[in-house]
Amino acid sequence: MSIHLKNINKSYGKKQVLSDVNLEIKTNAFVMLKGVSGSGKSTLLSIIGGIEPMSSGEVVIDGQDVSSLKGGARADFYRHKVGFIFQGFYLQPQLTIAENIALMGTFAGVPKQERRERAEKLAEDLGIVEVLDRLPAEVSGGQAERACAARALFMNPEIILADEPTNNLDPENAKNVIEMLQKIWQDTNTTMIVASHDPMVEAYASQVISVKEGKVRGEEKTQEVAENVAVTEEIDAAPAAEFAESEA
Amino acid sequence: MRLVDYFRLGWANIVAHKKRAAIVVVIVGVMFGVLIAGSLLIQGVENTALDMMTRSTDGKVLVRSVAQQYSFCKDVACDLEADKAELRQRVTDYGGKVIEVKMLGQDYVLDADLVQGAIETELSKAPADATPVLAPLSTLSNWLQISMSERAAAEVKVRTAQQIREQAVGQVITVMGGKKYWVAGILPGSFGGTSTLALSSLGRKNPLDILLSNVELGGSAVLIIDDGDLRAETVITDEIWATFDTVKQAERYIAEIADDNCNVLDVQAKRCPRMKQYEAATVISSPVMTYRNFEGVWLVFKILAIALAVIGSIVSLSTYTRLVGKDTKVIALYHAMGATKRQVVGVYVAYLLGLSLLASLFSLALGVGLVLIANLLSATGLMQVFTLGFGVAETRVWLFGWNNWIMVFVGLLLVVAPVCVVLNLYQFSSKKLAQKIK
Repeated sequence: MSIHLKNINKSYGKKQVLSDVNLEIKTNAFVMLKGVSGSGKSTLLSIIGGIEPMSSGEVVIDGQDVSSLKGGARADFYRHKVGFIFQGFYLQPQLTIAENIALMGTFAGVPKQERRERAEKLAEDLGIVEVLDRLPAEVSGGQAERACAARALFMNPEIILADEPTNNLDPENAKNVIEMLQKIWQDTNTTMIVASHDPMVEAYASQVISVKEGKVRGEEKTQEVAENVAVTEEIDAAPAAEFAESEA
Repeated sequence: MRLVDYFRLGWANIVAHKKRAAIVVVIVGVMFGVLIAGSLLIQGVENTALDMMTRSTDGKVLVRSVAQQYSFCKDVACDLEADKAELRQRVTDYGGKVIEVKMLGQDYVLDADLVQGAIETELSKAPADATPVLAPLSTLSNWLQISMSERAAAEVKVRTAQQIREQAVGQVITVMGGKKYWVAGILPGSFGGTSTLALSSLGRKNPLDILLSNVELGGSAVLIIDDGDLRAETVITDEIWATFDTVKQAERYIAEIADDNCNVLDVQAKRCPRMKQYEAATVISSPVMTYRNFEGVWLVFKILAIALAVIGSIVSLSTYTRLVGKDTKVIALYHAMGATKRQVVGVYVAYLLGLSLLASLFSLALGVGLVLIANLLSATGLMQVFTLGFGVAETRVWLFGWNNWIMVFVGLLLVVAPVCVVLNLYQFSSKKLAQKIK
């Protein structure tokens, strides 16, 4: 499943957030959208997922312009093409972890028994089977993050979009989450797009796209990923501090 | 997506925000609870009073009508028999049934079956030399020569009523002129200064008097019971007697008759085109007057209820709208999870319906609770005024009556839920999800 971004522009009022972005994301890539806070990487991720309208341009996934999707076709896109892992989890507090994982299945009309079985399987794969019947408030941050990942995977999407998945996590948990994403990526053969400013993510990405002041630069680093070694090359020469200064 | 899933997610939303849901349920429930309490209480007073007034005749209303030898017969051709025939026809037209009533002296004689509800003792126990009768407390106190001041304390009045009951029911009373009556039961009617059921007549101040003062006790005629053994000579009365199955039928009949009750002044003023002089009244207590008074009470209640229900609905609507507005993030998340707009709308209809249902149950419980409290706080006074007004033995009274208005209130609460969702459809849009989720 290839993803083409053509002449994407996005502005909030007078503020230009993304400027003339052209990008191709290859099928089954592990992509990192890298940039400091406010650089536009989360906006770009949301535009790719079709949950943020753009001012102009096209996001073409499998030959289909995402922005032109309406009603049922749009819902179908969310159900089958993409799975979101949102920053801050957004697990429904009143639903059990199992029900949260199966939420997409509920809307897609998957029978209850099948939903439970699929949720159990995903929970087993992600090591949270023991918390399936607990409420989100009763599980740890790491378990909640895994539950979010399981929820995103529930309908076997072709693309997984993760927004700052390691934000607010300690280094050990952050590493666990990244490894989990990498394992999902390897096991499910999906295209994984992660918006993050965490250098640790870079070590696992096959393609790193830097977002700076609304413009992007990208480079493939397939070899490094295959060997799972630490990042050796800065895609964007500018250090994070510099981004921050320029934002300010 | 199955129906049960909509309600599962809707219910989950209620559970997730218990405090928020509880506040909504209480605010909305209190407004409708007060209306439900009012409805239960008004209907309770009306039903209980009318039941007591018509229990002697098994729920039927006994009405007697007279076609008078009118005073203007000199000027116009009068045909009394034709007038009587017209009255009989009107009784039938209004759903009543004409009955033949005899007289023994000045008293009316009724078939035992017709007044079975008032007979408290076995008629077979009546001595052969005594006439079985039904009479109100006021008549019995005269016969027994038991006097009582209208200013006496409520307890004294009730004690006197019980004394009369003990000395009269199942006993022979010899009245002036030597006639012997055997009292088979007591009929309702004003006694001891209680012209209405208002507790103020007993020296008690009570807010329930707003309703109780509309129950007109009136009086009841002495009725001789014909159990088949009546040996005394009777004559058929000229009056037209009738039974009506409902108070409403009787009320309509009497109301029409009242239009034809002319006097000389009416004739002179040409207010009397049909030149008739008819009269009609209930025989036992005043169910028709009470019914009319309660029609007025209901009218006032309905006006207030509609105003309050509209205010309540607007408050519910705005509260629900705020709830939906606070859930922007959840709605966006549902969309991002593949929910169609219809599904999200469905979940929120289920959510708000759940809240409305809880508010309805709360308002019903509150309404019933308020009515029970009002009954319990007024228990003694109600017992006393019912004893005096209806001649019954002291017994606990419960003023509680179902009315279809309650269904209207509950229905209104339930309707508010989908209406709110329809008015807020723009909130369920799947646009700008990312901003909403952040």
